[in-house]
Amino acid sequence: MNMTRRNVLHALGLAGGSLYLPSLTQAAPMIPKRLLMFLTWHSSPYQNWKMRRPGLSENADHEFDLKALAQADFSMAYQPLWEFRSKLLILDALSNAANLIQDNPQGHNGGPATLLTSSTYDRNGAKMVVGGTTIKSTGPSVDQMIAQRIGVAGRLRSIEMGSNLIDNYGCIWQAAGQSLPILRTPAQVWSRLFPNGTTPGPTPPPTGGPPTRDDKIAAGRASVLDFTQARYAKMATKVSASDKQRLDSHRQMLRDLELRLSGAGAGGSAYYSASCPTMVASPGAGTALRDKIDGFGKLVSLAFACDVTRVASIQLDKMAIGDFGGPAGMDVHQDMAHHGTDAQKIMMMGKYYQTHAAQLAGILRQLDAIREPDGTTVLDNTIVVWANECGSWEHQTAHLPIVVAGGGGFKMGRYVRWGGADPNVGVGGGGNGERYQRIGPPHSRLLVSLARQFGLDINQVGNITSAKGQTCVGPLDRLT
Amino acid sequence: MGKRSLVIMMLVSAGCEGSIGGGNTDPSSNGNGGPPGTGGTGMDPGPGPNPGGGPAPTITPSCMRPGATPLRRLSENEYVNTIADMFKGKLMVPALDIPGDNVGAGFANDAYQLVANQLLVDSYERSASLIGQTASRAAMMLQGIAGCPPAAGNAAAESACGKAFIQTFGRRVFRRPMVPAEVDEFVALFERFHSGIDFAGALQLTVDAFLQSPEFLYRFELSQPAQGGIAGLSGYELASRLSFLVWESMPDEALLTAAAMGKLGNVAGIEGEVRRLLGDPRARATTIDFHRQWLEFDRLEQESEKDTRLYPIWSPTLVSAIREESDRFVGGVIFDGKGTLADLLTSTKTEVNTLLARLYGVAAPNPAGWGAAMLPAGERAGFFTRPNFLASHSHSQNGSPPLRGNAIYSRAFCNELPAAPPDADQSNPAQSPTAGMKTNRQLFEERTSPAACAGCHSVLNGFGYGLENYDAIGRFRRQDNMQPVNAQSTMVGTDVDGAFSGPIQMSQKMAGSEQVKHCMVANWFRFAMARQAETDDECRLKYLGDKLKGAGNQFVELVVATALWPEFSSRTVSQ
Repeated sequence: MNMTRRNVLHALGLAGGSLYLPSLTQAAPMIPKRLLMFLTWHSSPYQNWKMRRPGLSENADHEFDLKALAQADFSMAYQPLWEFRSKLLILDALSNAANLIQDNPQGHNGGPATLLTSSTYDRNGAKMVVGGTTIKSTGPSVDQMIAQRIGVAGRLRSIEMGSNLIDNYGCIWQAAGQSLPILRTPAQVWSRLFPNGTTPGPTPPPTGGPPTRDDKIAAGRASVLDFTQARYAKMATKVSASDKQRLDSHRQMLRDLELRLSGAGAGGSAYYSASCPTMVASPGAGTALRDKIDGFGKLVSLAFACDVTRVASIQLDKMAIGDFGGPAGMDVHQDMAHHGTDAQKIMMMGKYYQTHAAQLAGILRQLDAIREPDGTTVLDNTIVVWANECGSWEHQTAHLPIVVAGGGGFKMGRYVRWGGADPNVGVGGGGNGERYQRIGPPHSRLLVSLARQFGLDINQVGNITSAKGQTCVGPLDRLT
Repeated sequence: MGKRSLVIMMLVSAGCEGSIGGGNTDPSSNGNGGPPGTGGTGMDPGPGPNPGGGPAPTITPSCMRPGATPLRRLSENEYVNTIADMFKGKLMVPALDIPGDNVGAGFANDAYQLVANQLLVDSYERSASLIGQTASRAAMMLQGIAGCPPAAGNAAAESACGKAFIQTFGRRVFRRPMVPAEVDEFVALFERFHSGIDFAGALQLTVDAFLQSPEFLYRFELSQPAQGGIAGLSGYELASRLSFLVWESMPDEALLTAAAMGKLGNVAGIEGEVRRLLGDPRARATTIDFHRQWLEFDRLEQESEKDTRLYPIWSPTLVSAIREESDRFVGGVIFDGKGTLADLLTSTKTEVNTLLARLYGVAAPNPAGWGAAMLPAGERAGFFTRPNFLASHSHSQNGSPPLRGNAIYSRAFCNELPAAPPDADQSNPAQSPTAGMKTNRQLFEERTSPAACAGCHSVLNGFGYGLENYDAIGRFRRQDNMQPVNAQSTMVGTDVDGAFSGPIQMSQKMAGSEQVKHCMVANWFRFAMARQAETDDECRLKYLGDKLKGAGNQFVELVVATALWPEFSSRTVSQ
C-alpha cells in the first residue's frame, strides 16, 4: 500500500479535524477533508434515476459496482455522472422521515427545514398571524455542525452560495430558526473568498519591509474590530439574557473576522496552499445559469485548494424552462413537477434532473482538476453530497435521490439499495400514511455518518430519534 | 412627580397590573434629557402609558403590559435607508451589498430572526470600511457633519476637528447624543490612528468603527427603572421607534431635537411628530413596503413563467410594469386617495404605462411613461383584481382558483387551511383530448370534486371561482375556451359568507368584512412590532382595530394610533 501522508494520519486516527501538530504541519500540512453540499429544488420521478442490474431482488438489500457499468447502464437522470462512477455512491431508498412525521410533510414545506437538520420544525406562529407559513428548523444543519468542528480560526468556516429564491427555502441553518443567507453570484463569492482580489497562490507572500499606508489601514480595520468587540461586550451586560446571547454571538463573529483580516488565526502558520492556483479574477462572469454554476464550481474548488474554507454549499432553486430545454411557457413547479402519470411530464422531469446531474458533474470536474501534493485531487479529499427537499411528484420525502461523490472515507463506486422500501412510492397513487410505512432508512443516519467522517463524535443529528417505526439514531450502515 | 408617574398611580390604583417606570439611571440610554455635557435640557419627562396626562385609554388590564420587546437589529431595509439618510447631501454613498434577512411569519423584519450571521457581520465591515474610505476623501462630508474643514498639517486643529466630528456624527449614528465616556473612547481610537497613520486614515477608521457599533446596528432600549417589569422609553428611544415605524429609517434632525426638548413626552408632541413623518415621502415607501410584504407583491418573480404562445404580450418588461403598478397603486390609495382598506379592495384608480394599458384595455398615457388611469368599473375592483395578484397565483396557461383562493384566505382573512396532502395533484389540469373543451373552472371542479378535496376546496375555490374573469396574466375575460365565464361563487369560512357574482362583488364583500380589517391590523401589528402577535396580543389588535374604525378606517390613522398607543412608549424589561 502506498501510504500517503494522509493515510498515515488516518492510520493514526488524526485526520479529519482541525488538528495541527506543529512538528508535522511545519514540514507539510496535511490535506484537509472538505464538504460540499449540492442542494437542488425539486426531485425527479423515481423511474428516471433508479438503476437496476439483472438478478438482484427488489426486496432485498443489494448493491452493485458502478465502475463496471457502461454509460448506457446509468439511469437517464444520472448519465452525466458516469465519468465519475468510481467516485460515486448512489443511495437508493433513503427517506426524510423526520419531515414525514411532522405536520407539513410536503417536501417544499418541511423539506428545507429537515433535510440537513433532521429536526422538528417550528411553523413560526403562522396559525396565529397570517398566511405565508414560514417553517423554521429547530436545530443546526449538519454542514454547520461540521463547519464548527473542522473550521480553522482565521478562515471562513463555511460559504453558502446559490440562486435567487433560496432565501425563502434555505436548507442551511446555523442554529434553531436561523437559516443562512446565500451569495447569489460568483463575483460575490469571489470577493468573499479572496477579498484582496487574488488567490493566495501556492507560495506564501513575501514578508518584511516597512508597512505602507495601505498596510496600516488594513491593520486598522482589524484593530477597529477589536475595539468594536469591546463595545459589544459592554452592551451585552445591559440587556436580557436572550438579547445578550445575540450580542455575544455577533461579537464572536467580529472576532472571527478580525482573525481573518489580521491573518492571525490559529491556522495562519499552517496555511495549506500548496495546491492553490494563482488567479486574479473571478470566474463565472456570465449571467446564464450554466455560467453561474460553472463559476460556483470553480470557486469552491479554489476555496478548497487554497484552504480558505472547508465547507461549502451550492443551493439552487427551481430551474427555468430554458435552463434545461423544457417546453416553452411551462413552469416546472406548476406544470410539470406534479406530473402524475403523464409520460411527457415524467420525461421532462428526467431531463430536468439530468441537467442538475450535468451541473454536478461540472463541479466534480472542477474539483478533480486540482492536484494535491500527494497526487490525489481535491475531489478525492472532498465529500460531496447531492440532495434535494422532495422525493417525487407527490412532493413527499419518502424516497430521496441522494448521491455522494468524491472521497474522504466512504467506499465509493457503488450503487446501494435498501430493499423493502416501496419502489412504487413516487410513481403515483396512494396517499400520506399507509404507503409511507414502507419507507427506506431515515436519511438522518446518513447525516450522522457524515458528521462522523469529520470527527464529530455523535450518534444523532437533530432531535428526532425515531420516525415511521425506524430509528434515526446511529450511523447509516453500508457506507464504508 | 411627573405626569407619567401620576398616570401610573391612577392605573395601579384602578387595579391594572404592571406599571411604568419613570426616571432613567443609565446614562447611555439617555432617558431624561440627554446625557450630561451634550446639551441635554433635562426637559424630557419621557412618555408614559398616557403621556398627555388625559384619561387613560380604555383597554383591558392584560393589554396594559407591553408584549415582548426583543432587541431589534436594523433590518436590511432599515440599514440601507439609515445609511442613505445619514449621509444625504453630504456624501455619495457607494453601493452596499448587505444580505437579505430571513422572513419570520411573513415579514423580513422579525426581531427574533434578525440575529447575526458571519456573512452579515462581514458585510457590515466591508460596507463600513468602504463608507469610511469614501468619507475620508470628502471634505464636503467633514464640513457638513463636523463643521470643520480638514486642517492638514495642524495636528491640534485636526484633533479638534476629529472630536467635533465624533460628537456630531456619533449623535446621528447612536440616534442620541453620546455620553462623555463614549466620546472619549472614540476620540482615543481616532487619536491612535491619527498619530499612527494620518488624519484621513483616522477619520476613515473612526467611521468604520461607528458603523459597526452595536448602538448603530441594534436599537437598544435601556431606559430604567422598571416597575413591574415595565419601563417607559426615553425620548430618544421613542424617537427611534417612531422613525423606524414610519420611515424604516433613523430619526431626522427635527425628531432628535424634539426628543431633546422633551416634546415626545406627551400625546400632542408625539402626534405632531408622527404626522410630520407621515407627510414625508419616506412614509409612502414604508407603507408600500408593508403592503408589499403583507400581500406578497414579489411572488410574481417566482411565478413569472407564462406561455407566450397564449400570451404574446407577456415579457420581462411587462412583468416589471405589473410589479411596479402594485407599489404605485398602494401609494396612490393610501396617500392620494381615500386611504382606506376598503379602497385598496375596491378602487378602480391606478397608474399604467403603455404595456399595462394594453393589458387593461385602457388608453395609454400621453405622454408615454406612467400616468393615472381609471379602470373599467365592471372589470376591476382593488388589489385582488390586479395582474400582480392574479398572475402570481396562476399556472403558465391558466389562472388557478385554488392558489388565488388560498392566498386570499390566508393573506386577507388570516385563516389557514391544512397544507395540501402530499398526493394532491397540483398540476395545471389539462383538457381531455376526447371530451371537448372545458372552461378552466370546469377542469378545476372536476379535479377538486372528490370528497377528500371538497372540504378545503369549497373554501379555496369559493374565492378562486369569483376571479375566473381573469386569465393567467390577469387580463379580463368574459369567455373561456369559447364558453361564457362562470364567476358566480360563494364565500365560505368568513364573516361575510354567502353567494356573490364575479370579482367586483367579491371585492365589495371583502371590503365590508371585519375579518379582513382585523387581518390587516394583525399584519400591521406584526410589521410594526417586528414580532408575531401572540395569544395575549389579541386585545392589542382589538385596540388598534377600534382606533382605526374610530378614525374613518384611514391607514395612516392606524399608524398614528400605533405611535400614540401606550405600549409603543414603553418596554418590557426581561432578565
